[in-house]
Amino acid sequence: MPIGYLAIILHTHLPFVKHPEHEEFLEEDWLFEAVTETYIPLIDVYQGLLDDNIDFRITMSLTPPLCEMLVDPLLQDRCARYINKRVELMEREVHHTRNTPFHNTALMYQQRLSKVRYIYEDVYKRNILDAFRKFQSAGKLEIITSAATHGFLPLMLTEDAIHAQVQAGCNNYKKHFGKLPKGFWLPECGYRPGIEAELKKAGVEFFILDTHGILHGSPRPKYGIFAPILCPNGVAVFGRDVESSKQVWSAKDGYPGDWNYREFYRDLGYDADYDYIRPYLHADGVRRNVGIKYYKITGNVPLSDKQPYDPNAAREKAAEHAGNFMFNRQAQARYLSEHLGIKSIIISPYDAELYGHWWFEGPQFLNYLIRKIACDQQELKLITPSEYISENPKAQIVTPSQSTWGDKGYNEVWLNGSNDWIYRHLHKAEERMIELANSYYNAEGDTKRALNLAARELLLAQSSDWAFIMTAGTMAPYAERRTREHISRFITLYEQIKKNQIDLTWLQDIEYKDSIFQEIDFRVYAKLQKL
Amino acid sequence: MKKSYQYNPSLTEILWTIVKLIRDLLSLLSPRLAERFYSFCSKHLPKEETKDRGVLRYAPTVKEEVKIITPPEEKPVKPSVSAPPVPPLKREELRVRIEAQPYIDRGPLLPEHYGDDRIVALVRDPHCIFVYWDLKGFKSQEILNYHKGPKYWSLRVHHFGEDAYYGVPINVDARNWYLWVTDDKGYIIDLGFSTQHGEFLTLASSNPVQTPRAGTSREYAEYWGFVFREFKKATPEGVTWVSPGGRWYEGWLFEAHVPGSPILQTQRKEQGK
Repeated sequence: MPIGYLAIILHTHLPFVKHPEHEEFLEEDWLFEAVTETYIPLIDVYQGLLDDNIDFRITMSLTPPLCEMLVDPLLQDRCARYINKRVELMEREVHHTRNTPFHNTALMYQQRLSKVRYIYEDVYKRNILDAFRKFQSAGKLEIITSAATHGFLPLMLTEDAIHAQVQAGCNNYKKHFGKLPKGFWLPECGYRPGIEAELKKAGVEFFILDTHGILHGSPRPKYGIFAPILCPNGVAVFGRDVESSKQVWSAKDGYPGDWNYREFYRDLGYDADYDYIRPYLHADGVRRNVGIKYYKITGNVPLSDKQPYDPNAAREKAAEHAGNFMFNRQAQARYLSEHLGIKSIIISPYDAELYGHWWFEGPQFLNYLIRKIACDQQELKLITPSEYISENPKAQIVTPSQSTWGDKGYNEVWLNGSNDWIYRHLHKAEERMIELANSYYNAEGDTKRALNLAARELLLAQSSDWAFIMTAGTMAPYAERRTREHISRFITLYEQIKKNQIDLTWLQDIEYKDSIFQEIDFRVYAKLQKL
Repeated sequence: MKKSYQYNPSLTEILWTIVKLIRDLLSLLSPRLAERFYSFCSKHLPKEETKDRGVLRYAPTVKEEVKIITPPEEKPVKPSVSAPPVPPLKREELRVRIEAQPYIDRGPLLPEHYGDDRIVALVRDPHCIFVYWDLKGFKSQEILNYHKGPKYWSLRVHHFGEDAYYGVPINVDARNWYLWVTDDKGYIIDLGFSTQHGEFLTLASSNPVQTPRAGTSREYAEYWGFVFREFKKATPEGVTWVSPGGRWYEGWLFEAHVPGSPILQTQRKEQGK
């Protein structure tokens, strides 16, 4: 019998980036990189576990924009093109690196990318959402959803806008997975009291907060973050565990910083001869990462002094770290069971892109960890939050505290000098959308089309990624441009609907560009619907 | 050497000031006489000096030439650590680098304002609230047209349920402000100005906001309940349990809307030991 549980939660999100008007677009690579380096390696790990009959539980929050991109035919074609190019490059590289210390690594990449292509093209016919659906129905994976476009809920002005984000997110989940989600990933773990009411309306059972969201709750939570709490309306909340987070997240003290692991910042895109690498760069020809990296972290040395990467040594390290992680969680569970007298749950949420994209050996680490937990011990068991709730439906009633998982724990990442200008426009658009939805509730035909598009534009503008990127600084002009574009399209639509002069050619063009949420019904913004 | 900033007029300058004074006085009697006197003086007296007093009273009407300041050439600093080997720059790559530089698309321009009178408050963290405002609505324009005198703009920060407030002087054209506040409190912020007679006029009031708690709660009472979906499954038998404190409770959730609040209430029934 286990004495404690571990829930690994992978937050899997990317903003909606699709530019059909351009033949290729730099920011679309975010998706292709994530598919190649994270999602398919994870699918590969899950499939291996399934084949070997190993019991496991993972929770993934596949957000609506990501699901929409994964099933988009245009992006699927472009992703296939991206993977093919990488495979082609690796075939050249295998010859190129012969008799150098990089040859083993090149072979590893070649095998890996061929497998990625095989899984993408042949097994799942470019629709990898099928894979996640399969693992969900096998009972190994719990997929939860998030706000429609990962909008940052605490900084929205109206309850109706929060309602629309939550409802549209759940509707999208239903479209892709055929049922309603049990769990909800609050974007950026951003919570303010009152949001749980909207979640309950959507039938959501649980959500996840950062540690202080629970610990600062009122009354004080008896079991801290090691058991879920209940919002006063009966929605369960799980809190992030500090210890397990730090071990994986921290680049300095955590596992990913180990010197045997692959160095992220030394990329073939910068190292190779320009003429050689030119066909694998974007049309503008600027050197960028191509995702092939031959060096290991080596130590605290400048990039030029990095040593060649050794895949085997790195794999052994990943196994060692998985063992260490499990050992620490066992000790934690034992301690908690002694002192609290309950079957505790340790919640370890991570960004999925950490595994594979940033921490190259991450999927291997997960693989070893899951196998070790299943075969090597009895004390710890993997679980999903909804299973835990079914087993332990009783919980302490605590109102969580406003919090996020961003830097400093509150809203500063999404509200500071670099991005505070957006809220003036977003709030106005919220109010206008609600006004439109209420006054044109029974609209039909072109007006309805325009209203649906307006709802989509507002949702897209609200995506928390834009504010985050503006704070982070890199790629900030793109984030500014996306925010301005969606708001300005919304304003145009608002004026056209008000004047009843809808420009159909323009409308069609924008519908084609922002093709997210074909199922959207603008009435999610109406007050009538909620009564 | 100490530089004197005192203005020392020269002799000619004093002379010309007197001449101009006489001319102005004469012009009161006869403008023509004044004109004659002045032209006489211009011919026979030493010419008027135009001296730069070093104080710019008015903005120059003619655009001054913009000085281009070139930064002093930086001496190449020898790096303490060796940089990563930079592959030789091909001609093609150089062209690409140059061409890729200038165009940055930041998207279309958005309206400056939406013609509202409003102030909106957003919580940044337990100790900081962000507010933005617009005073372009009909009402504020009318008030501003009426009060032409000097205005002392400020934000009034009110606590929920208290009469007390404090004022923060602001520059109204900034259109947003970060306010330092206390955690775990409710706030409403008014934007307005004091007239020269000391009267405060509120032009816009913000939405109420609640700052988060920056520490643990002071409340220890324990309430227990069921996850709402599991509640029905669990209750038919009337579940009782011993709370870790050793007392018997029978707890349940019932849904009852507190007026004006989406939060549902919980009730606990104590059954004794």
